[in-house]
Amino acid sequence: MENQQHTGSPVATAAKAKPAFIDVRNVGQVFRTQSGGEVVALQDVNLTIGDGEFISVLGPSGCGKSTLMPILAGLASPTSGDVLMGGEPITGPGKDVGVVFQQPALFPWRTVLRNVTLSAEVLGLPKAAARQRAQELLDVVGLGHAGGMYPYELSGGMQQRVGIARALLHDPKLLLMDEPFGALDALTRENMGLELLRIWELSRKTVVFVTHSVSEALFLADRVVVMAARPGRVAEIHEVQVPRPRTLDHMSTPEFGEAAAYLRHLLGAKTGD
Amino acid sequence: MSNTIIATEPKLPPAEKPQRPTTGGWLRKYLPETLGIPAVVVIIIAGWAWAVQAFNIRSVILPSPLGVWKSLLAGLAADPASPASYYYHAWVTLSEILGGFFLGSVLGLALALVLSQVRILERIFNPLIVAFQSVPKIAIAPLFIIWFGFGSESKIALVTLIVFFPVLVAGFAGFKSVERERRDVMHSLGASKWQTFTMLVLPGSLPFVFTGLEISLVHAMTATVVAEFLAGQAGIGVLIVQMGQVLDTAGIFSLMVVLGVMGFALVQILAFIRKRLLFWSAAVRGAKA
Repeated sequence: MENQQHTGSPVATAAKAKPAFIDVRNVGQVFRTQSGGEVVALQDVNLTIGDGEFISVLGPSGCGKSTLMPILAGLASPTSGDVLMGGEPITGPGKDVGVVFQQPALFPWRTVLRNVTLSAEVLGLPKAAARQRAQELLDVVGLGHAGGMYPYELSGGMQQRVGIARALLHDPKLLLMDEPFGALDALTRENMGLELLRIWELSRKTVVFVTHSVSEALFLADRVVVMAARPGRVAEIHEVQVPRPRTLDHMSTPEFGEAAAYLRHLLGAKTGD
Repeated sequence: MSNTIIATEPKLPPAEKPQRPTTGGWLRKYLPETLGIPAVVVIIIAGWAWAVQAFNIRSVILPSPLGVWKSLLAGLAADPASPASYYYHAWVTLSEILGGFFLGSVLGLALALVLSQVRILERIFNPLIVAFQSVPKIAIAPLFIIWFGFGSESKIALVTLIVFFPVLVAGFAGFKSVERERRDVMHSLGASKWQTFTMLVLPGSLPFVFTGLEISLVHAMTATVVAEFLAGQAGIGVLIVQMGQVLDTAGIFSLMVVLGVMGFALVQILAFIRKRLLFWSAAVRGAKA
């Protein structure tokens, strides 16, 4: 296992020399309710993410993990604090980020291939190259045969894989995944986790993966950011000791079980449930 | 590793139920359409012909099917340029329907687009639209004849008005129907408003728009004929009124046939376009199954 605990320090692999690719500094987000009250969705969140790192954000509902995502994606501005990407503040959405949502949110009137090339069309990238890359990405997610099909012809898991391919097409530096497997059945979900790790090992994107599943967070990530609710804040950042490449067998090791128990305890203790 | 994962992924559900390749399978499958429909039509016409004979009904009250058929042939056989020709009147009526349908649809969609984009206009106009929608707009027909004259213009104006509202309401609902996560997809790519509209909002609104168009089309045909009843120089409605004045019942029936064929064809054309454009929509696929 590579030594990545402190992203401020140089990481082990030479290819990942850049420190602190994402820097979340004292970020707070306050929403106004209809009745005029205020809800503190995020309070003083600090987080640095290394280039090529896989981060899981784990927390109970209401912990603000779904508030953090739009901020990282540049879709929302925090009430206070800054978010830097590669040293530059994130000012708006753009080509550096790929987002995978909870629902595949494919466009049903487009073929699978044209769903994947969507970002190229929006960003005005060359068409032929985009099609070729889309086909490669479909091969990577195991849907190389399905380019000409329509979303309604695919199962939920396949649709979500198209969503992942779409998010990767424009070669973003950061891949944000907001509970992407939440709507899938348990078996498909595990397989998708494996698939995602394989894709990640091929592409080496920086990934921020939001989930409320302890085992999913542990299985996928280098580090698990455990969040607590009311107000939403970072409770602890847990270093995952499971070696890579990971297989489903890792999930039944005693170490994995202990880590999972620890995280569950953390979640329970911090939320008072 | 990846291969096993792909293999465990559930196979695609077959698009259609597997069919046993039996001879005459097609005929058996479409038995209701190939034999059932013609049989019912024949029974109705035969029953009608029998009733006219058996109860000795006068042809002014109810003509025999044969009499209607003869009227139809006579009307169709007339020189297309002459005012007695059904072709001529059917063409006038058809062009009024299509003209009004087109104008009303374009105006309805244009306003729907504006209202869906500008929140303040939406809030001003929506209550007004709801209020206007419940007014039976056909009642304005005499006024339109005063304004636009006896010719086709008054009919086209009435049809435009009648088509306008359902298309406006449906189009507005369609433009507003975009799923939040799909919008987020476009947003997260930094798509412009125009890109979001053409790539997402417009195609996504089509199921709603077509529902509005289908409702409007039927209204458009009714409105045209009613407006022609009131006043006019040509058109099937005009011809029906003239025949009514001379008690040409068979002629009226034959024009009903012409209107029926015209309406059926228009509805089918629209349904065909809908099917081609909206093959991906759950409603269209549901209707196919």
